[in-house]
Amino acid sequence: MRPLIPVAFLLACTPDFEDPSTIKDLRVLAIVADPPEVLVDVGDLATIETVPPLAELAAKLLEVAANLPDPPTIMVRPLVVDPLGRSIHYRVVACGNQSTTTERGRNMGPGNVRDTISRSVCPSSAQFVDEGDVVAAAGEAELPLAFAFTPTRELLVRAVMADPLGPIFGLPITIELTVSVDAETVVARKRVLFVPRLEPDQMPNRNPTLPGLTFRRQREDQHAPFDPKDPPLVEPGGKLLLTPEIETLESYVARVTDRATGRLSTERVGKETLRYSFFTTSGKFSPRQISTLPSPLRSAPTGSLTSDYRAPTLEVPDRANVWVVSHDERGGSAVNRLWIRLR
Amino acid sequence: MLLHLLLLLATAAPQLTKPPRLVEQPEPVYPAEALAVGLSADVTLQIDIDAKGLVTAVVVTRPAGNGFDEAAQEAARAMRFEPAEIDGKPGAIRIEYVMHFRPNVRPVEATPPPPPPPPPAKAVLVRGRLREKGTRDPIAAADVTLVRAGDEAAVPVAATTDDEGTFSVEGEPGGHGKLVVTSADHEICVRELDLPAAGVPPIEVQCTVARRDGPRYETVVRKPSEGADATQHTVSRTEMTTVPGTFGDPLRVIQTLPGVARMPYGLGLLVIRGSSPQDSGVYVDGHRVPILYHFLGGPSVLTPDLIDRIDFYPGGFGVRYGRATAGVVDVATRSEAPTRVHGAADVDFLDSSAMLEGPLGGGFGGQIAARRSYIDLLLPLFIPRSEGSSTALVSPIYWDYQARVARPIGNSGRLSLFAFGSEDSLKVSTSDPERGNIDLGTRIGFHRVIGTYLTAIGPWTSRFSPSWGHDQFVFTSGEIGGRGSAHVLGLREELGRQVLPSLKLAAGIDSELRFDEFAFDLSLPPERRTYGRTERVPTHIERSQRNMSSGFYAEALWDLRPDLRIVPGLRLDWFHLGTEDRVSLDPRVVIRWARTPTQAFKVGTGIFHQAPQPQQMDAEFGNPKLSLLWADQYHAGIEQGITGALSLDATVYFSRRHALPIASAREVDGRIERYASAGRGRSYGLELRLKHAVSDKFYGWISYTLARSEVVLSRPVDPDDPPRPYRPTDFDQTHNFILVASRRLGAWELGTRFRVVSGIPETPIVGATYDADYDRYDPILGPRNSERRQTFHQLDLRVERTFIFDAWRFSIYLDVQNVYNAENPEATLDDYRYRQSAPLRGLPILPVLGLKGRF
Repeated sequence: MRPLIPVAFLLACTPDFEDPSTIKDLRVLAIVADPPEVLVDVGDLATIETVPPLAELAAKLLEVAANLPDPPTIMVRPLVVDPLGRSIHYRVVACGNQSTTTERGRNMGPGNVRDTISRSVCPSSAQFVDEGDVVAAAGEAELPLAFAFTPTRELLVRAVMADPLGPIFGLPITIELTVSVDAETVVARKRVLFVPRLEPDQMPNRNPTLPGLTFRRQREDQHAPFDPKDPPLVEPGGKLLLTPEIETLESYVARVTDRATGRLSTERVGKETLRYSFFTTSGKFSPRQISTLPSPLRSAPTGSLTSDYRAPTLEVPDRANVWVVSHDERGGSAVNRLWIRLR
Repeated sequence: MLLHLLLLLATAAPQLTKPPRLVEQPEPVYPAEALAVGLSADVTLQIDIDAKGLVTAVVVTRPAGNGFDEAAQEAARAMRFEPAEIDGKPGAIRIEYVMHFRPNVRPVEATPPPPPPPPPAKAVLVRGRLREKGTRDPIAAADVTLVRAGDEAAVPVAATTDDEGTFSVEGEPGGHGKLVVTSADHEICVRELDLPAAGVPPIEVQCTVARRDGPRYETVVRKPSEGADATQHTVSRTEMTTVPGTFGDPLRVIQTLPGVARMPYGLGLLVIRGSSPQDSGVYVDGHRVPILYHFLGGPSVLTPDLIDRIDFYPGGFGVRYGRATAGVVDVATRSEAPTRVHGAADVDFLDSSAMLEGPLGGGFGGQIAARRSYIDLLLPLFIPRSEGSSTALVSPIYWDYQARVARPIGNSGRLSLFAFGSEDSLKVSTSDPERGNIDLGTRIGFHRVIGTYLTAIGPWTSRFSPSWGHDQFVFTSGEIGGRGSAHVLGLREELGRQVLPSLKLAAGIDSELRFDEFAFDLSLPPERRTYGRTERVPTHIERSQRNMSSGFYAEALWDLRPDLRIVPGLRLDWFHLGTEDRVSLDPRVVIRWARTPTQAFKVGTGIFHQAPQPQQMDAEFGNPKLSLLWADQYHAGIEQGITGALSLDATVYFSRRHALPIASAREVDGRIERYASAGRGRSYGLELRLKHAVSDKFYGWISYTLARSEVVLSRPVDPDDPPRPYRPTDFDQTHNFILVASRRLGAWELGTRFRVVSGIPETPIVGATYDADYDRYDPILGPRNSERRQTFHQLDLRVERTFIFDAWRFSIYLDVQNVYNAENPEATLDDYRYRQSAPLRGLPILPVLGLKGRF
């Protein structure tokens, strides 16, 4: 009874943290790899119905590693933003899926497949890719940063041997970008997937595109096209509702494990899920992320895909730069740049 | 009252089979100065009597001054008793004794009443009953005198009230008179009467008198240590309902005892000696119940009026209890059949409860109680909801009920049927027209019906207790949901026999059969590699399980010498868990040496087993091959009486836990085992309790626990690597200091609780990386639980004022938590990239007003 009062208290006491959609200092907002996915012939690993014992699998992995194609060159374009206009040092390395044994069993081996994707940083033995200094153009917040990445055969072989499930479910090669200025350092990662060819005419994943956005002033209003050349004006403290126009959701094939029996199968995923993240240099978005997939926790979802922009009330600049980052569920991503008139 | 309490205590194990009897009482010396001026007095004493009937300690708990206290103590020290008998053999006991000093009447207990006057024709003139104002409890041992008009000089005691407060006065019929009823602690009742003529029925008189000094704490006779458990804390009825910060909830008092970890926000999880809540057993009348408290730190599921006693064993419990490796809480409900009508009602801002009890005829008595919350109606008034807001509205709803029918059978037998249950609903909802609603319908409830038949079968005492129960839970939200229900059959048979004067045997069966049905509708991510949210797979899971656990135990209470008791016990448990069978054998022993009547040493050790959680043994999501969890415990302690009311209980303990289930991705027989019985834990520490027993005006204690509890819940990836080191458990609290004190001042009662507790362990975040595929920051964690939150400290106060009316009494109380508004951090919140953090503070100052009525 009375201790229930703290429940109300908890709900009322959220610390006043910095809003994640508002860019105030050095941030990495996205890393776009092109192509995001590479098809690899893995022989009978593409059709096996059970994961063999690890000793037997290791022999097959050696065979896969020996037959790997010449690694392609991948263009990488990170979206790095620093509104303070400083010279930023960057360093890029690449590595395979890392083992991060934890008490919860993550990355320990072929348990739950979805839990075997590493979140750890690359080791010191990672492949060096690029390093240098970069500064944004005058009046711009975005850094002109792009580089080409060609994984070495040695990197791929090491990644295959360290990640037994990789050739079956997709082998992630992590591109790790470290940007730093003064005492600020941001470490960001992006994975390029080397996935097994499961069908002869299979096409690798491509980065999603965002054809455009619509906007409304109020929820009751009709959607109007957002013209990047003539963006709408938002008064201080005013609101603008942005809705992305969804492109056709791709279908694809993937290897899946049956949770009950552990058996492997090839399934066609009818349509992928797209997510959109919103960032701005002035004001904020709520929610910052939206998805074509409604939350399973919500009943009677309306299907609306909208993020609300709220303009600042103090120190209002002439314009707010906005980045909309699109993600699919296979590592594909894209960036749309626009701005909103504030004065 | 004393006899009543003795009888109550006699129902518990061990049983007080014979109260002490006064066989030698020297007459106290009346203080000369007091006698000269005609002063009278009543001195309340607390007397410790050893197993030989000798008085070992006398404490004045309610002094009278003017030399009376010293005279009473002197006389009491010279008393001799026929010793009390516990379970049929002499034992030490503590009693309360009131010595009356009257200038013209000798102390009541000191001498037999004066010889009756010569027997000229007499008849019963007056019959009556004396009861206490407010409680309507009968007042025993009150003096009744009848003073005839014109004969005031002679004031003989005409009668004494019995245990039911009734009396009858004989005399010569006719005339006028004044009836005077006096008791030690109550005001005088005086009635002018026209006495009946010869042949006329006697006059009926009802006297309702108030206590002279207002309400007081109930008298307590401390139960002698059973000897079967190395560490046991028994909470008395007074302590149950008046500890500040517990809002009168008896079961929350457990959280002020040594060995119990503090929970944030008063949440009702029981973490005993650092173990997980599911490692401890919670019993009501010997039968296990699924929950003890309502949701979100709500009140306990039993109304205080029905609880007779709470036994708390932080470890080292006897073989009567099993299937738990940490501690045990056993709540004993009142077992007697009510012979009078009583009722109670509690009302406050968030819930209301009521209780009614009384005789039902045919020797049966019954009790019924219920509680219902209404916070779901009030909470929405304080939390705004708006479009686009992510604020969730949490609306807990709970109710519980209890009903009992009991009947005494023969001299010592008793039959009772007790039904109780509770239900908690938790409704969480947010409403945003653009993104849909979240409606989280969560409900958990249980029902239990427990029958108890106490009887004697030849030389054996028997307690036969079958039970039936039904548990259920439901949760739904959008596309996902789950429900489960279980029928639970329980059976206990406990036999006891005094084989020799120094040897008592106890044996029993403790069985539980569960028929569980589970069904879940889940929306699980597919088992493939994706990066970010993906369309989930609707998954329906059904499980039907029959789990049976049967324990057979035997125990001996063997007095090797009058001061040395050894209690060996053996428990055999058979677990049938789905398709798997496991057997465990738990030997336990406790030795208690009472070096003096006020000093005893105790040591104990034992093995304890329990089954893994059902989901950990699931064929799909767990590992059916898991072993039983088990612990070996060791403890030693001392019980030291300091003064009559003050005592110290100190225990050191060491416990190791083995075969704890840990998550595992190792491949065993071509299958990922998911869980392995490879974890281990240990806990050790010192528990102190300095206690002032409940006297009529004061009680209190200081609890201090110095503890360490550690686990290893992971294995090295390479089996050749050294084993992982121990780390603190999530609720490891090095220091836990609690002071509780409560004092009555007339109609007022003032209480305080002060706590200082080490901060709970915390895992530091040493950095973060941005994952561009998932668009989120991942924290980089330091060593698990390698830091601690700030020390917790809080002062609570309670003020209660009682108003007494003839047939009922009414109390208003103010319970203030966190009086000086300490900002205790209970959790740490981090910003999206783990650069900023802020403590989530605990309860701010919280005054709560409540009303209670009793009749």
